[in-house]
Amino acid sequence: MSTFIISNLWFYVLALSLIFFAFKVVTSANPIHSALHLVLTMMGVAGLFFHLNAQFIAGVQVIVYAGAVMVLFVMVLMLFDLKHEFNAFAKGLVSGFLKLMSVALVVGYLVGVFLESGESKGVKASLTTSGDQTSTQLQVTRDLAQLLYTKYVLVFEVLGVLLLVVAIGAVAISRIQGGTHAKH
Amino acid sequence: MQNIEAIGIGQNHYLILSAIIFSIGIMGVLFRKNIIMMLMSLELMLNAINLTFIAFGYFNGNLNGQIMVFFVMTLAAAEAAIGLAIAVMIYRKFNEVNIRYFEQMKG
Amino acid sequence: MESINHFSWLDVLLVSPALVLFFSSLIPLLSKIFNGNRETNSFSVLASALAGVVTALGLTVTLGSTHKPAFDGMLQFDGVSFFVSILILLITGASLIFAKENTSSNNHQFSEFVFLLLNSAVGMLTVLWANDLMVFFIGMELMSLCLYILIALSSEGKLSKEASLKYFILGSFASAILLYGVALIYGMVGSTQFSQILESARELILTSRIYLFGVVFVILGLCFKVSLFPFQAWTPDVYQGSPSPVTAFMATGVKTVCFVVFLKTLKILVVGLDSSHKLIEVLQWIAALTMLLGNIAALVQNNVKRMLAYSSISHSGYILIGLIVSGVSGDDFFGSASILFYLASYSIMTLGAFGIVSILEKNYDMQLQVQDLSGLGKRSPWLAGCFTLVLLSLGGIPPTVGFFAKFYIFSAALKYQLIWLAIWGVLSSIISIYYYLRPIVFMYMKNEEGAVLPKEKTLSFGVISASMVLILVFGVMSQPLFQWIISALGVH
Repeated sequence: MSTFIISNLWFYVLALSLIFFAFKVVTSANPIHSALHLVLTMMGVAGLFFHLNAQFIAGVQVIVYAGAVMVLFVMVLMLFDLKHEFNAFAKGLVSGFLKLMSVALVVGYLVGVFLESGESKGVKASLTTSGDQTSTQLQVTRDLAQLLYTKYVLVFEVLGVLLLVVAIGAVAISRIQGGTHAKH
Repeated sequence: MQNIEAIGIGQNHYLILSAIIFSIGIMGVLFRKNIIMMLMSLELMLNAINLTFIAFGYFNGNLNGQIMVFFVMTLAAAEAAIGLAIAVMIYRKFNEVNIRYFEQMKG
Repeated sequence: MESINHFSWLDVLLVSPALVLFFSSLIPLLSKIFNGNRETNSFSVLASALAGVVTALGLTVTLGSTHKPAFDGMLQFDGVSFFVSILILLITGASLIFAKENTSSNNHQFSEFVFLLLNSAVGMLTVLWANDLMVFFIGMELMSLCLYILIALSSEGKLSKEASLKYFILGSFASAILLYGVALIYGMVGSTQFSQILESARELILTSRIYLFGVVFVILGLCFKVSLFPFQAWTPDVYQGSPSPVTAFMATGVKTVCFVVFLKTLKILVVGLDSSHKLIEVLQWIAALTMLLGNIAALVQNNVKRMLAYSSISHSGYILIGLIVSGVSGDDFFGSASILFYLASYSIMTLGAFGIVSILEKNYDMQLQVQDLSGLGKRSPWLAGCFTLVLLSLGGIPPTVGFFAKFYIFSAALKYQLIWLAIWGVLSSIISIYYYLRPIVFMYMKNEEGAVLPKEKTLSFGVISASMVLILVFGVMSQPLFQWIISALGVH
């Protein structure tokens, strides 16, 4: 029994801290605090990825998500004047109650569904070791690259178009009034 | 040996965790009225979805989950960029980032 | 060179309409750069964009007979994708023409506007050809992201920015819910390809709760995109605030594509249900409430764009009836054919309606009210005639194509014992005639000064006249068109 607790302790610690950080993201009065808690959440998720044999994705998560996207968020937050933004929560008791109840219903239903359909897939996976933990991040990365550039090459290209659109669109939005060289 | 494996961390653990984080994200989008906070809650939801994909990918034994996470992560970054651009535009126009003031169109 | 085995040059040829659209979207931007970052002549921009659309149309028609999977099972070309991609390309061309002659889109960023519109069309084509949940999702996001930016680029100062913000927040929220459903479906099936999902869907839908939840989430996300109850609240605000060409593009293209995806969902992910299943019952309630809400709210609108937005909400309800029919009908194609026919006729009518609104907007700050239409019958009889025909067709008066579209949908519903739904639909149509007739009354019976048709908007005028002709022609010839759709569906 003690081996059970010790070998699984990492998961419960990580999971509970993730839930705590996520909750703080949503309920913090100061948006900068929320952003920092979100960074912590993303690092926690990266830790979970690491144990799910997705080490490369974990690295990408830290670099791209927690590193680039959140820095962008913090930078934009600094642009705004947020002194009177503390406590920007939705007013209204009845609508708030309804929203809370509906979300609680959804999460309860989901958790119930997952618990009920427990064919303990976990047993199957750990016994057959389909993702053999010791073999090699290198193999997984190589397989990922193989899949990405052969089977999913179309999605890759469409994603490229999407990124181009985002780049041009973001510049176009900022130039609505004419941009830096505009004559007002 | 089998007993210890059998009560290990299974698929349901990850699924329940991601469901909880997903609903916390939904709560954030519904309850917060600041645009940037709504964007951050959206990122939280997308993180929960990524966790679901990777967990399913591991327990189904194929790499489709990880590939999908690639694409979702890219998309989340792109959406965050556009969302922030729109938020900055709103701030420059209206000097206000709280959506409580955007009830100009009614009916 | 293992990669060569995964796709062939034929696959690239089949995808070439999207490639052509993408490259022709780059041309205006490149010419703007070489012009020293000043806006080039908008007519040349329009010409290059339309050249791309026409080329893509030609390629689609030529390649229309090949029905095969492509790119290692990622795409599937069949009769439905052929028919709807032609429709999407026509919608794109019409929206481009409207955009050139509308002051809220034809500003110093017209090249970016054209770039984004064409790439949104690329996203739509990707969704239509998708045979895999990943391709479908990324295409849908490409389509939506372009639209969020397009709405924000309007010259108009306040309403468009608010509309863009609302659409972005709610659209991203719905996409996240849809994606969670995709994740659950992938988890249960083990793959994201439609062909493999189809194999396991029949038993999974009845045994696995997780799979059912996944499908429900996907349907919820799609219900938002096509503005069904209770997710229709964004539509009036976003349609009103967007530039009218973008509204025309959204109301027709996005709805068409998302309904085709909805159809695929019901045919592939939700197989073998009959009308007693809970999911189908809920969909029936949604259809009934959508029709009711759309029609009743439109009765009190004075702003023409808001009225048309509510009318398009009610049309979504009618289309959902056809979807429910095709969901319970199994292998019979009558329900699917009626949906495609309705989508085609709805697109033509709505394009005409929003095009007329686009013409009558003098400048970008003007919001067209029903009172502005007064006396249009005397000032521009041809335009008033077009608008009258479009409104009658939207209301479902014979012998326009709108009447036949509703007729096919309701008869499909009756064929599958969805009697109360069909009765509800007919009643809603009768209610809707009031707000469709109101502008006609204003145009012909009232004599005050209203909006004038500007002289230089001849191209849009041509498009609207073409749509009016199509409304009449397809109305008379509806039977052959319907048979052609059924045969196209039967091949795949």
